[in-house]
Amino acid sequence: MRIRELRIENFRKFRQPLHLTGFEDGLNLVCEQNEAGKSTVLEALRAVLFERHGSRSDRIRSFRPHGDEVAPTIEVGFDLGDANWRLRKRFLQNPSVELEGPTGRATGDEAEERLQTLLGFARAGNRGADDDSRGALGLLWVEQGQSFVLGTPGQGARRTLEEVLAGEVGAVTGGQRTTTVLQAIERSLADYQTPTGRPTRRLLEAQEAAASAAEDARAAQAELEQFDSVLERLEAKRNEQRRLVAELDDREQQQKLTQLEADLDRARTAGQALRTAEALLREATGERGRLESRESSRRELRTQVAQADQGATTARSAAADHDPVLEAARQSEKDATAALESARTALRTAEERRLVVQRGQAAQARQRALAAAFLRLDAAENIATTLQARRDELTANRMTADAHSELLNLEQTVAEAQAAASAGAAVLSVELLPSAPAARLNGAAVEGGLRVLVSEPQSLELDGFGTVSVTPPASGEPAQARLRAAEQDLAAFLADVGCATPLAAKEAAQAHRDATQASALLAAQLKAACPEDAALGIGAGLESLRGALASETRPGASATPKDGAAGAEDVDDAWQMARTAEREAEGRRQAALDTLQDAQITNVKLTNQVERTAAEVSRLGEQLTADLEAMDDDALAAALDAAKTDEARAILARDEAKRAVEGLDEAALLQRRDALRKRRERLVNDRLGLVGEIAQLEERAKALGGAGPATRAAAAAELAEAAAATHDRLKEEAEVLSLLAETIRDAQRETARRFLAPITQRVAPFIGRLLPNASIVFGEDLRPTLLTRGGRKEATDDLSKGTQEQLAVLTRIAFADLLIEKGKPASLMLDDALVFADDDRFEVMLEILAEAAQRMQIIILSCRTSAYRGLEAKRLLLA
Amino acid sequence: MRFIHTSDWQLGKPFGRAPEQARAALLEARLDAIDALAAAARREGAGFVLVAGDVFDSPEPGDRIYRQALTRMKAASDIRWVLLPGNHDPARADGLWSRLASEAPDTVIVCLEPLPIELAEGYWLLPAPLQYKRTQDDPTAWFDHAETPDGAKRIGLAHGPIRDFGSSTAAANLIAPDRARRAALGYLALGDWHGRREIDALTHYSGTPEPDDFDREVSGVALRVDLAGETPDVVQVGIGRYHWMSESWSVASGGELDGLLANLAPGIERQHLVLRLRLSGLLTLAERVALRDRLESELAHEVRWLDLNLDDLYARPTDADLADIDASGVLRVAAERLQALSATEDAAGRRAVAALERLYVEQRRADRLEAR
Repeated sequence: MRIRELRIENFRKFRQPLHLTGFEDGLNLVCEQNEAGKSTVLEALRAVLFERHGSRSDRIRSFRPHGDEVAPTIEVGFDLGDANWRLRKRFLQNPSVELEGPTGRATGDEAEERLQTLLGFARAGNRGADDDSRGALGLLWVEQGQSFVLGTPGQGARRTLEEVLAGEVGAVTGGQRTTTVLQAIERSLADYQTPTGRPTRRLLEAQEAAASAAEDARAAQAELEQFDSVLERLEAKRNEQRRLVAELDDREQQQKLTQLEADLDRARTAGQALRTAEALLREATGERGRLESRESSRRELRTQVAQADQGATTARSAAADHDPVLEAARQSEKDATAALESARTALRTAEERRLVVQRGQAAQARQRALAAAFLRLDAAENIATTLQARRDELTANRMTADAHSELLNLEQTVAEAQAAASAGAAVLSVELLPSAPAARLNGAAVEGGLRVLVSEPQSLELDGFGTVSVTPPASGEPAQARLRAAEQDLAAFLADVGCATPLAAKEAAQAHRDATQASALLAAQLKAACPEDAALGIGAGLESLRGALASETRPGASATPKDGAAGAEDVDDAWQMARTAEREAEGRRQAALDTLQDAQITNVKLTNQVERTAAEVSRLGEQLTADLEAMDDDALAAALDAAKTDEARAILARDEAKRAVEGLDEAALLQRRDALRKRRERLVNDRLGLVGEIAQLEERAKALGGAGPATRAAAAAELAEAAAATHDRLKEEAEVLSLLAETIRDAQRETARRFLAPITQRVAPFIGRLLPNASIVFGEDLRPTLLTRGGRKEATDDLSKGTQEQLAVLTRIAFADLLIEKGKPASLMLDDALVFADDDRFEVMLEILAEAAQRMQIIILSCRTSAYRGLEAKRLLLA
Repeated sequence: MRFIHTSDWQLGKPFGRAPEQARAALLEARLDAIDALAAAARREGAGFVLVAGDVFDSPEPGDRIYRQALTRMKAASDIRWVLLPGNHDPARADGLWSRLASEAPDTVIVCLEPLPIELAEGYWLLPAPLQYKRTQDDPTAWFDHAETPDGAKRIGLAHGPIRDFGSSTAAANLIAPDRARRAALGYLALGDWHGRREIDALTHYSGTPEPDDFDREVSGVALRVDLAGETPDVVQVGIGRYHWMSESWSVASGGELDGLLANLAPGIERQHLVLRLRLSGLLTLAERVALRDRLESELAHEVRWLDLNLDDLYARPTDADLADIDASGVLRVAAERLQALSATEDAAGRRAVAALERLYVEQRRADRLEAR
């Protein structure tokens, strides 16, 4: 489609007619300033084609210039293929339409309809044309501010495009129908499950119903089982009750009990009889025992009486036998005492005599001791005199042991000094021949030869020859000095001790040692001569002896100790004999005393025995007498016989009673009877309990049975089965619907992909030039939805406004290309498009538009003169 | 002596598998059978109705069923009802029967003991009540030695299968087939078998008066028995309301349906028909949809309960079917895919078949919507 000319009158700002001519096939550029009316031109074009001439909509009214009641009129000339068409519409006042073309002229609705068919748009609604009604041209003629809208093409446009696409790919989307069917299916499916596949509504209800029915069935079954168990229990209880009643009514049991009672009575009676017999027997036995023991104790008593008599007799004779013994003892004691007295007297006499003798002996002994002491004193005085002489001698001799030691030391020192002096001195040796003249050394003649140590200057005079002098060297002087000193010390010592030579000194020393030894010997002799004398009370030592004897007179030799000694011995012997005799007498008296005492004790004992046995005899005799008085022997024997008879009888009676009791065990009978009674009591109680239980169970059975548990259980089971089946069926239906919906959606996706391929292919080169490595994906509604750049996907809504606009323009070029290829009317009209494009993109877009212009008419309306300056296009002016 | 011989009322049978509405109606119909039996007795001049066991569906049918039964029998006070416990409602202690025995009016005779009962002058009833669901002994064995006055007519009343019925499972409560002869019975009224069956001239199963399942032989009747003659005069009396039918139709084209429907259960009112219908065959998708639509939206509402099974009615979508769905668009692609999926016999295949059919239905619905 190509616009050739346009005439506008009374339309918006164009009150005066505007006549635009000179539109060319390719690019047409209307570059005018703002407010020049570019958009009005586009609006007029859209109005004349798409608005119905008779419409009085608000939009149509807005076409009128402000304040004028005029008729907006538009006339357009266009080519379709080779045919020229002219369309004129007048709005509001005397509205009219006129279409003129190769097939002739049409007016009114006919013209409108022909126009719609011709250009492929729909009749506008009451409110005027819209995107849906305008069709493909409406999509391609982009109004100001709409160029960047990446919207879904309107219904009309889409239908046209879809038709074209279907022709190209041999497929149709089914479009609305598919949507309708899919929606219906999805609505149905929504009754079963949520989009995520969870059960909902009907399916959920069915599922819940199935679960609840299953639960009901279980509950009903449980109830039925409970009911059955109640009935079973009831029957069991009934049976038990029957058994109980039968047992309670059992006559045999009754008889048994009666029999037991009777047996028990008999047993009790027999038992009582036995106990009585046993008591009687015990009594008889006791009586017999008592009598027997009396008899035996009487026998015993008699024996005791006899024995007591015997004892008493024995005691009396023993006492009598003892009297002489006592008397003899008394006499012996008297005799012994007298003997003792006489012995004591003799002893005293002997003692007196012995004392006299002893005093005499003592005086003699002193005299003898005194004489001896004087003798000792004499000897001691001699020794003391000699000792004193020796001691004086010692005092005179100064060569003590110490002095002797010193002498030896001094001699040693001289010898050592001499040796030292000789060692350092020259030796003068002279050998004289026998023919030699006389020679003198230091004036002393030399015979034969000599040898001298030269410690002093030596002068050897040889007659006829002269004198040879030898002087000792100075080096021997110190040794010579020491020798001299030592010799002086020795000389001084000797002088001190008063000895001429060392030899004399040594002899003196020997004399000193001898004197010392002699003194010591004498001192010891002196000590021995003066021992201690105990008899005279003299201490040891010469001085004590001298002192003690100073006052005593040396006794003479007058005493005759021989007589005195002999008389003393006799006296002593006599005293000893007297002492022995006294001791003997005392011993005898003591023995006599002891014997007497023993005899007296025995006497007392025997007397007591006699009294005691007599009392015993008396007591036992009285006892026997009393017993016999109570019952004499004959009576006792008779009573014992009677008691024995009684006992025998009692034994017989007891044995009989015992036999009667045998076979009648009262305790066992009692036990059996009580057991039987208890059992009956229990039975009665049990029966009562059972009656209650049965009543309860009956009531329960009635209550439970009223609900019809078996029927309910059967019904519930069937219902559960049906509910499960329904649930399964619905589940299957949901599956079917799900499968169907999924299959349709799959088909839709695939078809859409195939269907949109022509557009995608056509737009691809443009996109590639504008955005290298980018491609665009269209939605089923022909809307560009995704831009893929280097593998990255971006929703077109998220792109920048500039990019969105550029994509929208490129898409429209592709649509227009497609329409033109399929012989549909198409041209592109852009009002103030590409306002957001940067310089580079703008240039690319212009290149693409220029190329597209070789295939279609493109009309660009813009206020940016300079931007399009380089574009090769037919430029049109509104003035 | 005339009486009505009936059995297997099974009052309270739940019919849990039926839809709720049908369930209630079927339940009620069994109670109504009592009234119908009373009417039949009056019509036939029979003073007694002998029920040969299974009066109730279970030993505890619930108060409502119990009361309804009792009320209806009380209402027909001109009839004497003789009730026998069967295997469904055995006379166990303390259950339903003791309650019934104590609450029933004189006109209702409850047979709880195997003892002869004189029904009328010279007519003695020998009942064989079941104490348990299953017993190994023949409950009628005692008939042979039952003492009745000389010349009396003996009527046996029992519940259980005849020994040689051929069912291997029914080993309990077996009844000797020649019991009537051996026990010198004038008539042996039997229950348990829900279809009416004559064993010999003296021995009859009446069947249930109100049918309760598909595939029975004659059922829904009672027997009017007259013992005046040498042999009993037994006449079948219709009682039941609902007819249970089980049909299997094989169809080759949608057009056959009209004929089949026209010949369905002649003489039976549709509202009294309980129908189990199984269709098999191979149709086009369009035909199958149309046929199903007709059965589900027409027949199903005409009859009491339609138990419809179309599992074996296969649809083979034709090109026309597919074209109906869509000439070439998305839906066509979807239809072709589903058809490909349906090639298998398994669950997934059946699911695909159903989905395709649904697509067809939806498409046609959309067509109708658009046409409006």
